[in-house]
Amino acid sequence: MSTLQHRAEMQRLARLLGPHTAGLTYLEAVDLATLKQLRERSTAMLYDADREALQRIANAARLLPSAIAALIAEKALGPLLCARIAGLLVVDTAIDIAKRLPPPFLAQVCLELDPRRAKAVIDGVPLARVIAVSLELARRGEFITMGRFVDILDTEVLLAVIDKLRDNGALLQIAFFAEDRVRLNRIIERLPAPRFGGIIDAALENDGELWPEALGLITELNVRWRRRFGEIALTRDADSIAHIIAISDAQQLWPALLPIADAVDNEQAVHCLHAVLRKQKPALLKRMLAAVDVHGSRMLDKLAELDWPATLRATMAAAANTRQASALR
Amino acid sequence: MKNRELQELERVLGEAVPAGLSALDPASIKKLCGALQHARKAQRAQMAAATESSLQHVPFLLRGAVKKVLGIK
Repeated sequence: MSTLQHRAEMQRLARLLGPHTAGLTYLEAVDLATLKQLRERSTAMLYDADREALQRIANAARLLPSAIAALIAEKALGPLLCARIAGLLVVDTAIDIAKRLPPPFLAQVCLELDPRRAKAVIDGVPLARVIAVSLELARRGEFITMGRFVDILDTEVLLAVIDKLRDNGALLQIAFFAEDRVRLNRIIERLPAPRFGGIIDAALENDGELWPEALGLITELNVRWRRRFGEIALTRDADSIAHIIAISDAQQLWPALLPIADAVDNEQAVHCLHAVLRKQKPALLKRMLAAVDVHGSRMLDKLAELDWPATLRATMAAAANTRQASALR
Repeated sequence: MKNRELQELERVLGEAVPAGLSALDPASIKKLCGALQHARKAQRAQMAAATESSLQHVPFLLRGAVKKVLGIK
């Protein structure tokens, strides 16, 4: 998962530094926390470097009727400068200008904006405009940028956007890139029930293209939501569960899958998982159990009590014994 | 050698270099410095061009006031 977050952070930094920085490969070995610090400090550098000049432009905007300021913003300043200036304008002026700008242009501004620096302005933009801009960003696949707005938008506004954004795959990716997990838990608490299943469906489409993102997201949620997602996934039909296991195994995602399976209490889900695991090859089970040895698993204790075919019984018994021995030590 | 690159990066950033970056080799630090400077230059150039062209959209009677605020002669 950290690889995915790392990739997201690299993309955020590349976006900030501009198209000429396509080759940031020399930063690939840098850890995630350092990359975040670098982005924060680079953001401060760019916002502060020309602050006086930016402030002068912001002051000039106050002299003009909002309609003209909006025209200049779109036709002359462009999205980058608008993003830099947004937080320097008088809030009411900025909101008035934003109301007059078309959603595609505002979406471009969002790509360049550090949302925390313009929160007061963003909070004042009418809901319909926020929804239109969000849908435009989703249409363009700008999920990293949208994730940053999840961290600052009002919960009610986010729920209204989610209501209109019917693409569960998009929703999953936006949530994955949001940094504030506490806030995410609060939003998920109010997510309509069908969206939970929809998110799992979307994650498994195209041979599980978004499954790593789904696991990365769900693993970091409160146990209550891990259980909810885990039970939805493990009470699906046997083919779907086998698909989940195959994808997780092929992509070495057991460390992310185990905490979700561990949160599951529902007996039907345990039995569904057991039924599918019984049909797997011993080699796959061994790889799963190797992850259990490293990360531990409550689910394994439940599974070990169930009946296993002769080919797998020895493997499961050995794993259970190893776990018991380590528990006694 | 590396210290010099890190000092330059600190100068460009305008604040302390994140500790984790000190593990980078000098050539990578130099590249990063270049990327940051390029981003600053691009922003400045864009701002200069935008300031000029924005005046074309300002009504004639307001241009003097806007020029004054923008510091353009």
